[in-house]
Amino acid sequence: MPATPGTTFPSPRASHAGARLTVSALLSCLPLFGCNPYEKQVGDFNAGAVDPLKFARPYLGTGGTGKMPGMGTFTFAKAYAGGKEVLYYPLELNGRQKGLKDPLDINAIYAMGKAPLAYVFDPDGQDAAADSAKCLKPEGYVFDQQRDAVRYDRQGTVFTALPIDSDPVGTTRYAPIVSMVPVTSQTNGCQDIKSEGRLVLRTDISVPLNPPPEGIADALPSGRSNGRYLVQAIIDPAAKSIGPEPPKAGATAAFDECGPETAALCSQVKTTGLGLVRWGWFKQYLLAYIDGGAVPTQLVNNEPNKLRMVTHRLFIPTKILARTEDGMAFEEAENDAVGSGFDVLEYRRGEQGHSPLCQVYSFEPTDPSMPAKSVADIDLSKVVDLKRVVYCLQVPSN
Amino acid sequence: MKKMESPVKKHTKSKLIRRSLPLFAVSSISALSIGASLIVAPSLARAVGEQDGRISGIVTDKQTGIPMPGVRVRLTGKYLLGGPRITATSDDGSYEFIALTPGPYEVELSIEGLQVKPMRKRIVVRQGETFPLNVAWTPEEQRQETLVVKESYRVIRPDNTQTGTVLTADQQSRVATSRSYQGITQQVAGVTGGGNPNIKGAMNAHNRYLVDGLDITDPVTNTFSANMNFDSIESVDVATGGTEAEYNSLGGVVNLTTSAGSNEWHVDSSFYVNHQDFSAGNQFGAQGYDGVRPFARLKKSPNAGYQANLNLSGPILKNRWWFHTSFQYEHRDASINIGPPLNLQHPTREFRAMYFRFKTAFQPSQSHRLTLSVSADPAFISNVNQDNLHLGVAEDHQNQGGAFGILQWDYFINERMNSKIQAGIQYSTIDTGPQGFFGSIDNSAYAGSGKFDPINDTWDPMRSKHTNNDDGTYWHQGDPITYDRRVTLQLDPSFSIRGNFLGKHEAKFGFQGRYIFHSSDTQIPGNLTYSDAGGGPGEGGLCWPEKMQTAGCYQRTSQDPYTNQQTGFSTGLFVQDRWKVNSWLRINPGVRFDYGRSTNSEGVQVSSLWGFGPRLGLVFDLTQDQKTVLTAYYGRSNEVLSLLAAAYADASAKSTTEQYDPDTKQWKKLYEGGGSYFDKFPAYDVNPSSTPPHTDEITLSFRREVFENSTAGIDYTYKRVGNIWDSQEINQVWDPSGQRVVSYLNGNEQQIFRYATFDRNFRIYQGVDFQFEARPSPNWDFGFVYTLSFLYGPGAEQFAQVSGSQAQSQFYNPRLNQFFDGYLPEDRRHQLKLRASYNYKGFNVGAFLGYQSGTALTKRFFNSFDGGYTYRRSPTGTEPGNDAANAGTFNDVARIAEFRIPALLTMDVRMSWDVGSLFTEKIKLTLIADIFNVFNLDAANTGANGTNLENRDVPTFGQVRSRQTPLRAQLGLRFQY
Repeated sequence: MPATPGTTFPSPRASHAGARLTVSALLSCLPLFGCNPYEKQVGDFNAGAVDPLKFARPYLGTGGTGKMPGMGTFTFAKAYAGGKEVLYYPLELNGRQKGLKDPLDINAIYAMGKAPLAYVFDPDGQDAAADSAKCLKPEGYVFDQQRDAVRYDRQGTVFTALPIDSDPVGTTRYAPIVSMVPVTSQTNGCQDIKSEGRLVLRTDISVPLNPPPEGIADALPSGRSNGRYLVQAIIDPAAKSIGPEPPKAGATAAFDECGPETAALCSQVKTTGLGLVRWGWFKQYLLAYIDGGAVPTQLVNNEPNKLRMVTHRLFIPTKILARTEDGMAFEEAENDAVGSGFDVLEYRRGEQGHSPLCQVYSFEPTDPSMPAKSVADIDLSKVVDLKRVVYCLQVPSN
Repeated sequence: MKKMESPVKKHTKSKLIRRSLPLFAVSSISALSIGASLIVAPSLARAVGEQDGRISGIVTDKQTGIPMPGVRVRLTGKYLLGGPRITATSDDGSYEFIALTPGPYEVELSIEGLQVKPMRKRIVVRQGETFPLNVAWTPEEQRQETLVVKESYRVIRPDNTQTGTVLTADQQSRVATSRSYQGITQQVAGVTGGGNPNIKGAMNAHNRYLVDGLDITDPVTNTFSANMNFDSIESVDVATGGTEAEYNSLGGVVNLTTSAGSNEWHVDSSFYVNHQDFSAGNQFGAQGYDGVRPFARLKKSPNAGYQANLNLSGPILKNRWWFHTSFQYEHRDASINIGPPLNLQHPTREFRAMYFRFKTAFQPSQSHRLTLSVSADPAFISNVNQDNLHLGVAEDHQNQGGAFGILQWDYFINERMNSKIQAGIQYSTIDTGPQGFFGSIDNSAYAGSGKFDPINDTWDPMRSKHTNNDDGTYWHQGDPITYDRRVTLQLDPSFSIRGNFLGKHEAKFGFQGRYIFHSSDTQIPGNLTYSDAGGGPGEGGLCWPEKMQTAGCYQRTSQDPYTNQQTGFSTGLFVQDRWKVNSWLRINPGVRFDYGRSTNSEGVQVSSLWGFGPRLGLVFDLTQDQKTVLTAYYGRSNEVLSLLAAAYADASAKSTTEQYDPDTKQWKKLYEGGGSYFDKFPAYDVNPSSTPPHTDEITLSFRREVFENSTAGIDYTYKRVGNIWDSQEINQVWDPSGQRVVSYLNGNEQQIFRYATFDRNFRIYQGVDFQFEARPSPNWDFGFVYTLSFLYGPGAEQFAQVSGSQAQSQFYNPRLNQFFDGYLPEDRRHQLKLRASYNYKGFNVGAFLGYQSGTALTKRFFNSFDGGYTYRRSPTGTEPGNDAANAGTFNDVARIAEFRIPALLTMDVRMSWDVGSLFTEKIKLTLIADIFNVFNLDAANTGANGTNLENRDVPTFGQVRSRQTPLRAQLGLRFQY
């Protein structure tokens, strides 16, 4: 029976060892030996939020600083896909990946294609768009947002790398790509597993493992990837993640705020800064990440060491709608910027062909009153390939 | 009433001000470095509140060992008010004298009608203790025996379980001390901390302070509330545990008995002086590994003091009516060494005080005794904050003082019954605020230097205080102006009865009533405080739009002046029996019932607490010769009355905290605080009927008289202090990281604190005291104590009394809750106290050496919402360690490390010479030289609110802000007649 979640050491799983702990604590409390309060903090205890002090700048959000977590904001953009509104976070390639000759070549990003592992619990399909609910939740548990940092009826993904910047600043070797290790829940308590080091030793889950490397004392086994990659950008856990802001006073852009299909979500996240990111763990620390879902890959020329990520298309307008005295009109978009609110994504998340990496194209809208909402609304013969790739991390739609 | 001092004080609702000590005793090192003298040795305490001692024993035939009934026992002594007392041994040969003023006595045995020479013994009775005087006597012996007792240190305590000791004036005169009763408590085993000591793991707000039976514990902060003329104190009984039902303290009991005079006229006058020219006064680097800076030709930091004392005592009516009066004037300057981050000489803390005392005792007959004891202690303190974080213009001032008096009537009904009624009153004031408001600022270290803006040269009442969170400094203004008034009324009748039933019994019944009152006026200069961040260190990082300086603008809080007052009362009933079952077993059962209630300005009942406190003590005289004693004790004490909760849970002016938007350059409301309980959104919440704060204590003790007047012992103490008061924020909803508040439960942007006692607010102390004390001859005095102790748990805080900020409570931010368990800030693993003195023909050398391992600290990080260092990344008593593999982040639990200040070692020496004794026995003229910190050590010491080792995540993290006071000498001259 998992313990009540949340706020105290030891972690829920440790509860069944309570009697043993009590005895050992009593023994250790004998005169002359005293008590070590830290020994109570056994297992994967919650070590608090991950420290973003040295996070690369793109992962701190606009205005963010590692020294003062929470100052940054990740603003998701409204876009259209398949005729419907979607929200996505456009993340420019950055760090070392940006300078690669082929930034989609996983083998170039990570030697031998060994992206950091992410232990995903009970992945639903290939996209792993939601945390597993197959773990054991505490009896009668109901999520309390004031009490609980995370839901204790779910199990978050366990990550193995952080977006740490490199020296010189801006050359991080981190890329928001992880290699998925599927974990099957059995009798593990929810949010009980918070680190790779303990995950691979647990017996209440099922996880494919590689044997520990030989010749290294106390080496642990590691998870065996299922060969699939996910784009999940770890960010400052304190940063706000919000939907597109309504136009500020004096601004001319008319429709970059959330539309009717995303209004409810945008309204919520505007207040809380929560809801568009997901929560996982790294070495017992709580982290936040923007989930872009699975990224399709393909072998180049069928060479096993030539694994390349596949993109889909992101169309950005060269002109955007603006208010005029007469109503609306187009005005020039700035610098081919993505995320203007009128972007068109080729696929919705979950559709065949979707990718969290987008090849960016520009297009010229034709009718101010009818913004393009799908690829079908765009004259593909006139689009321009901007020779540019961005991460387009789409929030799963209902 | 309230003090805003840390970067996050805006939602602190501030900290209640406590009394301050004269000088160095504000820190543990000071108390230790000054302290000396008599240590430890658990004593023969009877009951903690006892102002008197007693003599008890059995007279047996020396040859047959048979008890001798009917032996006439006569007691004389210069402190025996009412004249000689006479009693006769009972059928079992026993006799007893109760209610004896501590001091020397002579006991004479004789048999009426028989022509035998009496037997006389001289003994010294100590406060609260029973002197066990068993006499094996053969009346036929013609030899007159007069045994000069060498201040009997038979610290076996064959009749009770109390731990602690009695510190007497005579003992304290042989060693260098701080000349404050608070400071000398550090000499006792299990006592750590500063002027408000931590006694066996309890918080420094958990003790009770008694003067001649009046509980002078501050009604609000539960700390000491008065300073005293040191030379008027006869003895200090420090009870650290194992107390009987008469007492109800979560920590220890510091019980002072003052002099009431005698049949002899006495004058005791002294003068002490110390000056920085008598001190080493070195300058040090900021790092822990830095030593003296040999090439820094800087002026010595001021450390000087002058103290004058005059005591006069004598009989008004011989044997009937005595008095003692005393006056002490004290002027002490203390300053810290130059250190980071400001790196200039901080203004000197000036302490000026005058203490008045008068005590008189009147015993018209053997059955009645009246005692009146009154005190006053006005004091004025400039530049209260001794740290290197404030310029003089931002320093604070404190005026404190008050008066108290107690009237006591003892009625000795017969040999089996006596009663006592005590009635007392105390009134005290504490006024605090910016130094510039109460006096003149000391800007001598920087005025005209060009290092800082010229506005720092003068104080402006409308200027706002700034906290620069980038380096932890405070600027331009002091703390809020507060006027605090506190009143205590006390009535304590008790009744004692002695008799036989399956052994001997002595039972005491008592009622304890207390009424307390507190009022406070608070005003924030400029009605606004700033919490600046992001602008960089120093004055250049402040939010200062007038100077086009906005990079540091972060948060600010406005609040109008306000007034409130609280009242409370408590009643306690206790019964304590001492049952001597047989010659080797005593059972001391007791129980007390308490009820206390407090009410705030708005008529809201903040606390209504019931307490049930059983006590059970077992005393085994293993060898039946009172030389080998094993005791076991369990007891629960409950704290049912304090105005601390009511002072926080009370109406105040609304405060509004705003956040700066650098884009719009506008301030936006972040949240509100303060207000009324009856507002649409109540300003605070209470849970008046929660479980009272209480202590459960188990004490095991083994003591053995290893040779004459020498005792060795081991005490083990397990203490759990539970349901400590604290405040819980109940309206904010934090993001998962605990860095941002994302919503409010009631929909209003408002902090709401619930003031209650919490099951999870507890602390556990385990300690073992190894003690040895010897007085092989009257010339020598030797004591040794080693304590190994562990103090841990989540209960680090009681409101903001320890950290200075409610935002550092475990109940403030639920996301940090898992970090609130570990070694607590008062945890000192090892303590060694070693005392020795030798006195020969008026020449005295005494030394005290103290060693204590460092206290636990916790690294604090910046919290964006709080605008201060309220965040944690590791448990209490640790710092998260630097993960070099991840570019210096704190994301590896394996690197979490215990974090402590360095250990402290001090040694103080006194040399004195009574030149008067060369000429006459009646006059003592003593030349005194004290040397403190003989080794001139320079470790970082503890300071107010935790540490003088920077524990915030600022660029100066880990650097030493203040060190031990360097070697210094004090000269004194004392005249005694």
